[in-house]
Amino acid sequence: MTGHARISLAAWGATVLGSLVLTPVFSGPFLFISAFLCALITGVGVLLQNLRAPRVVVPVVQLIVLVELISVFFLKETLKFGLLPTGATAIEFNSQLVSAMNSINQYSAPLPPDDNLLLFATAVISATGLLIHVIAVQLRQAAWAGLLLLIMYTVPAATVHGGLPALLFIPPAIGYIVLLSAEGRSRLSRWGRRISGVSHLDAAEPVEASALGQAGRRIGLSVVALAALIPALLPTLPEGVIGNGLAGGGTGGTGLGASISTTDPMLDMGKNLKRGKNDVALTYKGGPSGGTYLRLTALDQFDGNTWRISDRQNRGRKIESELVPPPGFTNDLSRVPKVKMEIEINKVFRSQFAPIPYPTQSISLRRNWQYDATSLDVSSTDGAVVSGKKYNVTAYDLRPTEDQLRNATSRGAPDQITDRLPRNVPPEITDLTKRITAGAEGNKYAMAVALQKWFRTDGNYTYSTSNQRGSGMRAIKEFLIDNKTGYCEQFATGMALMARIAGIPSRVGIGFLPGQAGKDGQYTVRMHDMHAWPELYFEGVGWVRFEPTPASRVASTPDWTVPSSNPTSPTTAPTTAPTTPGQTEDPGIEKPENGRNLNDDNGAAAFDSGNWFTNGGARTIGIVALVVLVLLIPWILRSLNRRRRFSRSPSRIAAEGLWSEIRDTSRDLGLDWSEVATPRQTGEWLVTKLPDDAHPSALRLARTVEAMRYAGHADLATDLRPDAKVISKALWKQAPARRRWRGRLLPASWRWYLSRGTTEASDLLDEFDLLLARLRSTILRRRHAS
Amino acid sequence: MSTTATSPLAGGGDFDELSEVAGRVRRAIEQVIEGKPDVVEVAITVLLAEGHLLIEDVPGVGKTMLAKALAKSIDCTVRRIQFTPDLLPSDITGVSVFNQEIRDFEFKPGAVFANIVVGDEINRASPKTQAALLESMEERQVTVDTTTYLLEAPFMVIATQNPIEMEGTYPLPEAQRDRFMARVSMGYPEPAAELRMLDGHAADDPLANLQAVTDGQQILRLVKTVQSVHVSESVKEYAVGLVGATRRSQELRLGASPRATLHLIRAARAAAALDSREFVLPDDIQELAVPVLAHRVLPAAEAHLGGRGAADIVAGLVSSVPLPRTRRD
Repeated sequence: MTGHARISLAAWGATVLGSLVLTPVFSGPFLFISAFLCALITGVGVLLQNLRAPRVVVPVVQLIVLVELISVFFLKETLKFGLLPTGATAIEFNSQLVSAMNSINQYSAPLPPDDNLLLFATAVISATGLLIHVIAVQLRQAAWAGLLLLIMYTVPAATVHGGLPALLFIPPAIGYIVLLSAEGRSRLSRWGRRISGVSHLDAAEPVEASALGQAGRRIGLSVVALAALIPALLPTLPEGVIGNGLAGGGTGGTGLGASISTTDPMLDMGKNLKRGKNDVALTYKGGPSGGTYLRLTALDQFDGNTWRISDRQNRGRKIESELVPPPGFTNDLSRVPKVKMEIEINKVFRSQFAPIPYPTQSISLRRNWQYDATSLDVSSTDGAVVSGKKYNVTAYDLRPTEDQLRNATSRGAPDQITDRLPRNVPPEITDLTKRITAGAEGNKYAMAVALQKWFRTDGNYTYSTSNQRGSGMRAIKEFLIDNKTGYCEQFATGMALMARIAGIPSRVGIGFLPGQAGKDGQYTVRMHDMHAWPELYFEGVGWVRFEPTPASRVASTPDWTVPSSNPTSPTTAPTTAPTTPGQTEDPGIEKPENGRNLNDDNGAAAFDSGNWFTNGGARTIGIVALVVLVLLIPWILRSLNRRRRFSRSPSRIAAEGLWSEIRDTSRDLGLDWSEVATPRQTGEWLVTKLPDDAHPSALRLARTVEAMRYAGHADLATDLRPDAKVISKALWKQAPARRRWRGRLLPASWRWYLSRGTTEASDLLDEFDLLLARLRSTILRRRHAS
Repeated sequence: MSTTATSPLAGGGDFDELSEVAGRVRRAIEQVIEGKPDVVEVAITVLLAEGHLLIEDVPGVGKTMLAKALAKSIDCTVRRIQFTPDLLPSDITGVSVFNQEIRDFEFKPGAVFANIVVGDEINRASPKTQAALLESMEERQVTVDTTTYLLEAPFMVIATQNPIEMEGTYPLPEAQRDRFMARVSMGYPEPAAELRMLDGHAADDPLANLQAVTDGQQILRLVKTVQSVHVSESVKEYAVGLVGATRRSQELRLGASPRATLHLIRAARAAAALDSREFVLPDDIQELAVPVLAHRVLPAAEAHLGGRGAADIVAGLVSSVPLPRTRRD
């Protein structure tokens, strides 16, 4: 095979292996079609090269062939005589590409199987294949082709939520190595062939089978293995670092679109509130008169630093006709009035949660959407966003009466999360809570009402977005006790925290205020209507929304949160009191706030050293434990191996295993066990390392292994385990303490196994090379014969 | 050295007899050659492995003495050929002469028709004459005119030669070198051994006092015993690996032939039997690798310039080729 053909083949392989990474993005048979197209244009290239066509002509012809092939495959109707592309072909091609781009903007990965997208994927991959071919073969710069492979890799890396499987990195890397190796060989052969006195016909031995080539391959393989392994072992970065940023940028980048991710909705809400541009986020029709709060999700976990969504692994449920009834509600649901709503989300609002009223009974979102049974929020399963979607919702118009709430028995939280207090709650907050709720006489509802009243009026709090410190413990303390200035985030989290102190399970809802009513009953909700509020849990009623944010921001409170003058009256529940839409916040006041969590961390550390554990200490311990575990892996595997070898009953395999065990032990302890030495020599060598009392065991073991390997005796009845134990013990005993520790924690035998592994992998590559060389010599021989 | 595995192999020979005879031969030779037990051991090994021995060294270190001592300690026909530049092939193989009485050609056997042929200074003869030995060494037969004459067993050629740098020598052709199972170098004796030699050889020729300690028939029996020694797959793989390494080595221009592998295994069998062992160990292969392989390979020019001889290179390979891996551990 000529150098050209080899590199061409390698370039084709690299393209195909590289395009494997697109499988999580596109669906359908794009891979096969583009591999086929690339193979054809590669064949054309090789053919032209062999015909000594001018260098410039080859890529041009290849491009023509590619265009023709794509036209024949995808745009057959527009061709003249079924072959010649016309102007209509170009127009059709363009329109298909445009609609593919639209689909890409609209959907998130994986994209649905669609003819336009198939054309798009195939065209992109085969064009990349052509470019790789030109770069590697025509320009002889195979190294640069890696850039194209890398670009190909960034596509799924940026668009697939939840990260790519680590092993997906390997195919393009191998493709790249093969390409480089092919180029290296060809480069080498252009410098001249090795002087071996063997004719090129018989040169079955690859040119690169030198020690240098071996070393190069070994390094390449090691690097690929490391690159694949290390990310798997390290804690992952939050998805938002790469994933959301680019994914959200579909219609104009993070700077323009507003997004809500699953990572830290509170932070996203803060950002959206502070954005200068007050875009329309959504519009809705129907629902209770006066509009309704639309909730995205509820943050139920507070670790003293941030309010988060608790771990939801396996809690997502498929949306069927109806969601589960609202948690905690024990009355007859059929008597609760229902409202129907039609919600349309603007394209700029990119949230993985669908804004819906609480509690929702049913929703028309189906595929790729799920709901959480405890918080009743609806989110996408695959990181897709709700932007541009239109859906119908049926919700319960749940208005608990004062009585229901007042008589709710306290049977603790519905879960393990919503009543949990972090350890670093400052005593001032606890005292304040006690003071506020003192008049409630232990009634949870009365406590909650007192808290809301404290925030809205009694406590003299000021609503302002200019002084924001997030919702960490230090920020809340400062807000509650010191400067009493904050916005909905502080009000909501402050009340939620105090409710937990008072013994009421709480969580923080995030969503939108009802928005502005239009002429035809349509409500318009803008970005600055984003809001946070506490939800408190009452047995029998479920989660109930409270509104601690002062009237300057939210004019009215839910009617159940303000008791009538006569607390015992059973008929005080008003049913029509509207919740007035809140005022839109003035963007002018809002200043972005950065490094919120950092502040909290420092504050918490300075605040109370005893709270270190909850304040990130647990995570530190977890990371340390993980690191320790990772570091212990060699020791664990080594121990398991040792146990396995010692557990076998006397047999040939058992004896070999024990022999290997002594070998590995010696290597672990830094002794130089030779691969070349025979068992007899090794036995004599062992004797020099061991104290006198272990000599007979060492010689016996060596002799038995020797006899077993070379004397042709199949049966072996002697139990060598005691001997092996004696030797092993003596070996450990003779080693200095430092060596012993190193032998335990970083068994050197592992290095040996590893190098054996890479050698075998490298040998495999050599075999591949050999195969190519044989093929080449067969073909050459045939050609000579003919 | 003894072994833990002592089950007698069916159809095998008598190892006691073998070690006893070998001991006698060893003692007999050591009356003449002092302080060279390794060389004597290889010589006996080659004898029992039905091979031919090449003794190479500078003049005067006892090459011929060793050859003659070995020949004399066995009660069989011994011929000695002094190779000179004018020696003719027919001197070795024999010649047909016209017999007036029977009015026909009659074959007069040459020097090769003996149990042990001592070829002294073999590289002083012309290549043509050296080549005359080829057929007889490998095939143990001589063809003169159209008739093939079988040589009597046991048959062993013990040749001595001077290093090719010496004046008036013709290098032995590769094909012929390959037919010798092993090559040994005598080396200069230790001062103590040289002193003893002065005492011993001053009075009379020690060779004259040397009595045969065994005979050809017994040697044949012992050869059968050697052939019964077990060679495991693992050892075979090792031998093939080692010989293969000589072919891949960058330092060698020419590696060892498959015949070398065969000779290596046969010699290893004999060495194992001499050690009263019924099976061959990799240790045997390692010990014999240099004597069996070194004279067959050609060092590359770089190695030659670097002062590394074939023996060094083969020894280097022995210390770098790993034992075959066992399947499971």
